[in-house]
Amino acid sequence: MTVDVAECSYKSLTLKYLQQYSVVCMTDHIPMEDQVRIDGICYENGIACYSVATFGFAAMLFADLGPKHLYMMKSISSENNPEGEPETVQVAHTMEFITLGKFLETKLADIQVKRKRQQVSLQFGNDMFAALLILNEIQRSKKETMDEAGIKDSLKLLLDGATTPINELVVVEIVASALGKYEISPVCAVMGGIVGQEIIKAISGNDEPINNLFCFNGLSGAGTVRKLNSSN
Amino acid sequence: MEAQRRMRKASILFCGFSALNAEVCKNLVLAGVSVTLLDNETVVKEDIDAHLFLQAGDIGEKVRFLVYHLVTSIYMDL
Repeated sequence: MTVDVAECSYKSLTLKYLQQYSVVCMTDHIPMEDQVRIDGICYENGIACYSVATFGFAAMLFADLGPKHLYMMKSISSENNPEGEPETVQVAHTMEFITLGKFLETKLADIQVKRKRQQVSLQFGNDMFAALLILNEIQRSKKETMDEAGIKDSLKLLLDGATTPINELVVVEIVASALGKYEISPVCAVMGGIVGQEIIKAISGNDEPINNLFCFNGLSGAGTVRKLNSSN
Repeated sequence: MEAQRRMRKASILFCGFSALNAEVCKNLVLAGVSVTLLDNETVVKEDIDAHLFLQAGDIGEKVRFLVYHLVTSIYMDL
């Protein structure tokens, strides 16, 4: 086991360099366009890629384990073993992921929650995704800050009249915390544990990984997994 | 056993070393996985509050060198 340090501009990370690693874990210190580029390289070459960030009390994790991630999961077989107890067997599964670029192309209006009952618990995922899109836009326009009215305006623009359930205040809070660039240590500790576990799942090939967005709400202590995809 | 072997062989690249990545890095080093830290930034005031490895006296230093010594010291203790 080794610990190493490296210095390299994020723009000049090439396949030759990234190939040495089995997992890449990026934070929001890296501009989104570079993250999308690095993730694209990883997707095509079987390198697991994570994009993680905390925005004040909220935290997110985007996972991309490539087009065909193979993992083993325990399940109880229908046949009994000689002692008459149900046998547990390891079953191989594959899971398909999408790139960060495709993920960010998802339209806010297309996010639907089929069952009404799930809407409340899954809404934080929508809020987080909306905040991510707005942050991406702020970064692209090379702005440093954005006031509350600006955030609300860009949210309206993104929604484009759709009725996707979104809490405007939560989105404003997340974006404002992200622009403030401060981190809260308990939120980092909780999220650090989850991300660490996800990375171990990815490299060991055991158990079902998160596909593809996980959001943690530090205020309610709840986590939400959403699968967002631009192609549906 | 197969999973353990894969974990020993794996190596992980951390791009950008925020407080969150520091936590993840700590967890994985304790689990026995090889890590590489890639960071070009120097420590600023905002970093210190939540960061596991940084202190007030570290402002202006390169993040990656400070963290390297501390992360190495974690696994020396194992």
